[in-house]
Formats: sequence, C-alpha cells, structure tokens
Amino acid sequence: MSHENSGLSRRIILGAMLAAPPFINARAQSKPGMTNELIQAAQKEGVLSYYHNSDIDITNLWTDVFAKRFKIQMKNMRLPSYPLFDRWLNETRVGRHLADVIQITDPTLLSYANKQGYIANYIPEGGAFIPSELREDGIWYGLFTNPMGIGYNSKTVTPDEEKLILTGGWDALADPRWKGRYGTATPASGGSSYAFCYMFLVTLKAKYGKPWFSKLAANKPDIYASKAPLFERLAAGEYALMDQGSAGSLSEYYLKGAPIRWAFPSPTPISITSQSICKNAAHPAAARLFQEWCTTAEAQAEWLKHSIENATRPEVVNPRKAAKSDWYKDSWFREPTKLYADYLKDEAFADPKKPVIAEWNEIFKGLATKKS
Amino acid sequence: MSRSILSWVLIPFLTILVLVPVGFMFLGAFMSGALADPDAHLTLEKVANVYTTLPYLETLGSTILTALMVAGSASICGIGMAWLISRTDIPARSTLETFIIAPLFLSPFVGAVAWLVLGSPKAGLLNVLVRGIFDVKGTFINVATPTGIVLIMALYYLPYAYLTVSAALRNMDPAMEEAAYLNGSGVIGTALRVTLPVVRPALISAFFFIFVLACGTFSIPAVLDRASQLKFLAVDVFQASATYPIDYGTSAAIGTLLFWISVVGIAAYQFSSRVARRFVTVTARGYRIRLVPLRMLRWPLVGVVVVYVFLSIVLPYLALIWSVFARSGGDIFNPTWTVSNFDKVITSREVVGASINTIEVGLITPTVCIILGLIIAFSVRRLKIPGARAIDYITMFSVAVPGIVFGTGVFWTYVMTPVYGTIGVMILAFLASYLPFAYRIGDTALLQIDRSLEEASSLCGAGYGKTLMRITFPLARPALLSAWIMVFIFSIREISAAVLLSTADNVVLSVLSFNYLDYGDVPKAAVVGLLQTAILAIGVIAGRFVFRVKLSNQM
Repeated sequence: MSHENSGLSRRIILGAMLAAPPFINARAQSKPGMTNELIQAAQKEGVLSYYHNSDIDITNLWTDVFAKRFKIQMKNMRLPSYPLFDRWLNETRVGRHLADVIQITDPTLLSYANKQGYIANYIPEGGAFIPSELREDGIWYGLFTNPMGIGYNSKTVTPDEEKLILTGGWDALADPRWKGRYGTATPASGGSSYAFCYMFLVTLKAKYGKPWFSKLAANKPDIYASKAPLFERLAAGEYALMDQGSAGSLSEYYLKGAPIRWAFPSPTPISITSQSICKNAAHPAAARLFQEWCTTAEAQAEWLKHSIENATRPEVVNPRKAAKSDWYKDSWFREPTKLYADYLKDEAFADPKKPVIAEWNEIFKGLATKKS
Repeated sequence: MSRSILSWVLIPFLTILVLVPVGFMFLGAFMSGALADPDAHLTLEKVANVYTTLPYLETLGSTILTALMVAGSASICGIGMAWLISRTDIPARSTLETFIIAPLFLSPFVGAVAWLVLGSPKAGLLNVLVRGIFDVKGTFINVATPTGIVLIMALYYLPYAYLTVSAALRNMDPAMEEAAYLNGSGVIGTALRVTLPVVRPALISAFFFIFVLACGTFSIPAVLDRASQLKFLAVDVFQASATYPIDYGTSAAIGTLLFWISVVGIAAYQFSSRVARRFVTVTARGYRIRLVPLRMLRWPLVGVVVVYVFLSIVLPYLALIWSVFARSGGDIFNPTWTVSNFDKVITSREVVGASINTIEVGLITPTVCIILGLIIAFSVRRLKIPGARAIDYITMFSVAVPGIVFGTGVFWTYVMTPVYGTIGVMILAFLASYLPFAYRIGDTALLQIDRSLEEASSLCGAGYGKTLMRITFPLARPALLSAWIMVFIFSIREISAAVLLSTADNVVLSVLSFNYLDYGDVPKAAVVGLLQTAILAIGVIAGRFVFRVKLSNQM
C-alpha cells in the first residue's frame, strides 16, 4: 500500500469528488438514509465504538439519545485530537479496528487518513445539508463549529481593559498591559489551536504574521500543551484573558456561574468538529447509522441542548439564541461578524508536518511548553 | 513439576511480561516514526539528538537535580519522623503513624490537582485567603515553581522513606543504643553516632528508591508546571507522544535516557538494600525499646507532624471538596455551593464503569502479583532452579522503567493481541511494574523462614507445590498480605502507563480523572479523585482490620 501523497492537490480531489458524487455513491453504498435495512443491520451488530475529542459527559448524554433510539450500545473513548488520531492510526495500521467512528477537530487529518485507505467512503443523507466547505463528501462531515475569540475574566480586568477587549480587535491581545496575565496554547495541542495560529501566521500574514505574535510572546504568556485546562484557570482568575477562546468551553463556565466573558474580533476563526467512519470498522452498519443520525437536524439540535457550539446544518437554531437567554441577553455579547474557515481549502493547512508549529515555537522560544 | 520445567515456564513468561515491552521502547528510539508507520525506518537521529543536544542534556541535568532534591527532602523528613515514632515518647504514636503514611492513599496526580487549586499564584485559595484576611496584595505561595514542585513531590514521597527507615529502626536491637546511653552519650549523640549509622543503609536505600520514583513522575510536574520553569524528562516523554507532530522516536529516546538514570538509581538502591540486610540486627531474644523522653518538646514535635499531615492530607482534601461543591470562579469569602458536579459525575456511566474496572484491576493485580512473586522467590531462593540469577534480574528489571515509558512498550507488545483494549492489558502492565515489590517482599519473607521446616515437609513426602502451599505460604502470609496492600495501592493510583493503554472498555478512575483534568474540568477530576481515595481507604482498612496487615511492619 502506498502511503505517499499521490501528487493530487486536496483541492483537486475535493473538486473531483464534488463533481462526481454518483460515482462515489455507487461505489460506497447502496442507499443513503436511515433505512430499515441499515437500522436492522446496526441493531444486529448491537455496539458502536466511538473515538471522540469532545466533552466526556456531553458526548455521553448526546450518544445516549442515539443508543436509546436505536438500541445500540455506545462505547465512547475520549482523548485530545492529535493523540486520539495517532492512537487510532496506530491501531488501524496493525489491524486492530477498535474504533467504528472517529471524531476530531482537524478534518485535514481525516483527509490524510483517507489517502492512506483508512476511511470508509459513505455519504449520509443529511450530508448534503451541511455547507460544502464543512465537509469532504464521503470522507468527513463537520457536525459542529466553534468560533474562537478572546476569553476574559470580568473580575480581573478593569472597565477600560474590558472596553479594549470588546472593541480593540485582535490587536487588543498585543497590548503590553497583559504581561504576566495571559494564557495561550501551543498550536501543537490540537486542530482548533492550529487553525487559530494558522490564520495569523499564514492567511493574514501581511496584517499580523510574526511581528504580531512577537508582541504576544513579549507578554510572556503561560503556554498550555492542551487548551482545555486554560479555560478552568481563566475561570478561577489565574489569567485575565486567553486567546483561542472557544465559545463552547467559555460558555460552559459562564453557565456554571464563573465570571467569564468573551469577544469575537473579526475575522473569527472556527474549529470544526468533524467525523469519519473507519474503513474496517468492526460494526460498519452501526457506524453508518450513527453518521446518518449525526448529520440529521434532530441530532444536531440534540447536541445544542447541552453545548453551545453551532450546528453545521444552517436550519438548526441555537435554542438560547432563539430565546435570547443567557449571554445573548447580556450587553457585552456580540455575535461574530465574519467567520474564518478558509483554511480548509488551503493545501498548506493540510500538510501533515504542520509547519506552523515550528514557526510558532520559534517565536515563543524560551517560553517552553510543558503543561497538561 | 521438575525444576527445569519451572525455568522453562518462568523465563519466557517474564521475558514477554517485562523484557519485550522494554525492548519495544529501545526499538522505538531507533525508529523515525511510530513502529506501525510503514514509512518509518531505522535511524540514529532521535537517539543522537536526545543524547547529544543541549536542550535534552539540560533537561537531564534538571531531572537529576530535581529528583535528588525530592529524595533528599523526603528522606530527611522521613527519617526524622521515623525516629520520632519509633524511638521517642511522642504521644499518640499509632495515630500519628497512620497519618504519616496516609498520603499513600492520595494519588500524587490528584494531590497535584489539589495543590494547583490551593497554591496557584493568583487564584490559589491560600493566596486569595491571605490577601483577603490581611488586606494585602501579592503572591504568598506559588506551587508552580521548581521549589514548589519539589516540595509537593517530597510531601507525597515522604511515606516511602518513613516506612523503610521505621522498619529498620524496629528491627534494630536497642541494646546498642542502651550501651551508648550507659557510656554517657546523650540523646542526640546516640541518635547520630549509633542509630543513624545502623539505619544508614536503609536510609540510602530509601533515598535511591525515591530518587527513581521521582525521576519517573510525570503527573506532578505536568499539572503544576504552569510557568514552564522546570525541565523534566518524564514530562517530555509524555509531551512528545501527546502533542503534534507526535514523535514516538524522540519520546522513546528520552525514555531510554530516563531508563539509564533509573538503572543507576536502582543499582545504588539494591546495593544499599543488601548492605541494610547485612547490618540489621534481628535477634531471637525479646527486648524492650527505651523511649527517648521528649519532655517539653513533645507537643511542639507533635505539631511538626500535624503540619505535615495538614499539608499533605487535610489541605488537599479541603481543596478537592471546595472544587467539587463550590461554584466555578466563586468567592472563597462568600461561596455559593452546588452538588451538581458531584451528582453528574457519581451517576455517570463512565464513572460507574471506571469504578468497576478499577476495583477489578485493584483486586486481580496484587493477587496475581503476590502469587507470582512468591513462586519466583521460592524458585530462586529455595529451589535454585536453572537460570535463577537471570530470573532474579528479569523480575527486578521493570523497577528501572518509569511507568510513562513502560506504557508505550506495553502498548506495542499487546496491541495486536486480543488482550489489548481489555482490563487484561492494564493488569499485565501493572503486574510487570509491581512484580519487583512482591518478589522482594516474598524473598525477604523466605529468608526469615527456617529452611528446616520446608525440608521436614519434603521428608514427609510433600512435593514443591504442597510445601509451598502448606508450609511456606502460611508462614510468609503477614509479609505477603502487606505486599498485597502495597500493590493494591499502587494499582489503584497508577496513571502513567494506564493513560497510554486506556480504551473505551478498560478506563480506570485514574485515567478518567486525568481525562477530566485534560478537558479542564477540575471539579469532576476532584470527584473522581475522592472516589479513588474511598476505594483505597476501604481496601487498606479492610487489610488492617480483617487481615491485621500493618504496612509499616513490612517495608
């Protein structure tokens, strides 16, 4: 089996696939949708092993709905994106197919795995309702998006500082007043962190690039190897603010009563929770049924009962937004005005060597990363 | 079973259990990528990079220095407390002893989480309290510094020094001290010139044991090192295999570096253990220890022990309870309480499953470990089977391999077998890691049993198996039960290898707690930590009152 890049660009592959859906359809599956045949076959298998990188308890609540509806036992395993992907890759390479479905926040790795022959081509019926930039048909489907902004602790910033965060755009992060009061995560920690850093170092290089990150580094932030613990420390008041603040995580702390607020400077990068079916899944029918269910409006709305990430199906409305409850009623809250997801179309982003990590490390040299 | 058959069974079994995972670690260090990566090839690059470039050598120096400081502080405090409890008239000795070894029941990882809540520079509860009470500004305690990390590690390793040295003190004939007193020596003079030299080998052995443990610890520096000030090899091993681009080669190469440090530490430990055994004066005649009167120092010294207990147990548990029941970001002077964290976690199927797995691992691992340890000790010590020396070395080998390094090797050993993904793989990993403890305690117990008893059994026609079951095992029972409790504690707390081996079906509480923390959910990590402690406490209390096991008698 060849594991080299075939030489085709990701854009060409994507384009070719979009242009020829019937071919993939005919090759990969007989009939999309949650058909009786599929449900029966899945129920016969009885179990689904789900590798994911979302919140443990929210994922359990969400998958329990699927489990109850279809009478299929869920076995969920959570790890951070990159270790999870790597564990799965190693298992797959030695022929241990423990996972049926894998979910991570860096869909380009799923594309890479597909090139290696480890992803099952399957087009769920609901896939067509997901915007084309948030899916690679038959390979991976974005289920939820999570905008990333500046998170801050309202108890540890002054009104002036809050004004700066809310109106100062991304340049607010470079202000020297945050020296020693600021936390960040390495782009090596996961797909969302990488996408965030990629936007500034590659896509918006002319406006921000290295000089902007150098100003951030001059503030001597504490650098986390995994972004998740940073939210808890921000809520506790250890830091005044953080970048890469995923709305999903910040709002969880808001709902727990923590003095957490956030701003979405423009453009606002989003991370995409994306999901694929494993090629040699031990429970292929259950995996396909789950992918079908996950891409329905019903499943995405179910997720939003527990989390505030945005559904990728445009018709699924966040119930808090509809009711103007929680932060939607607060005067400080502003919706993001321009989302940034262009990185998925960028070949350089898909480079499995992830060159932005080295560039970022060089800028933040001396501020070693060694945190859980 | 003939002696050679026993060799043929034990050597391959131990090779697979212990040597193959270590072999995979070394092989991984010479690969350009993961072992399963078809593009990976043999290379010296990773090893050369790790063994010859400055960043890694600096980390090596920092790791050795940190581990030496941890071992030094824990040993000095441990011997002080052991002397106080064993040789003085300090009040409530039995209760104080229980409290001194109580930190064993708190996983160092959970302890580190608790200290993060207590001693973070800005939001740490202790800092907030001091600022609020005295209306001052600033940071008064900061555990996220090299000094803080060393002290927290020392807090949790002190019980090992205490147990080792107090056992030596208990076994020491006080006649030597009596002689010193009769010759006019004072309390301090006797302690320094008689007691200390006699227990010195035990102290050195405790020092190196803690040194090796500290070198391989990744959880405490990983949790506390917020300002990236402390370079630590075990953390680098984990980070290299957990952040992108994942670099198994470098991770394994750092692991081999850690291995060599541990080998040196273990060699020193074994040498001093042998010397300790030679020096310890166990006699058949009865004796009564003359307790040194502390007079007016009695209660101040109780205070010293109480401060230790407060720092290692009381404060961390209060912090965990605060994390569980106080609302996130709440004010310590005006807290609002919630039971939702507790309710959510305790009823979640993840926790129920992990608790069952933890109990299974906690019961099976020490049981198999003790049986195997005794069989090996009996085969090596009594039967002197062919290859006994090799078996002895292989059994002790894993002591030199930190869990975080061993876990990767175990992954590659079993990933292609049906045992991977089950609790079986956890049990095998823990069995290999803790077999040396069971073997060493079993071996020591055998040394204390008069051989003529077993010879009498043989003369009466009993085979090796019957003699082992009817004579040796009952006589060694107290020591073996202590070893069982010790391995039980280790198995429940183990996190390094468990994190690398966990799948959906074999998650244990330590891994779940790690996962919660990794997701930034300190309250839920704290609930799981409390649950873990409850299981440990039940096990140890059952051991103490049902089987009359006292840990402090057998180290």
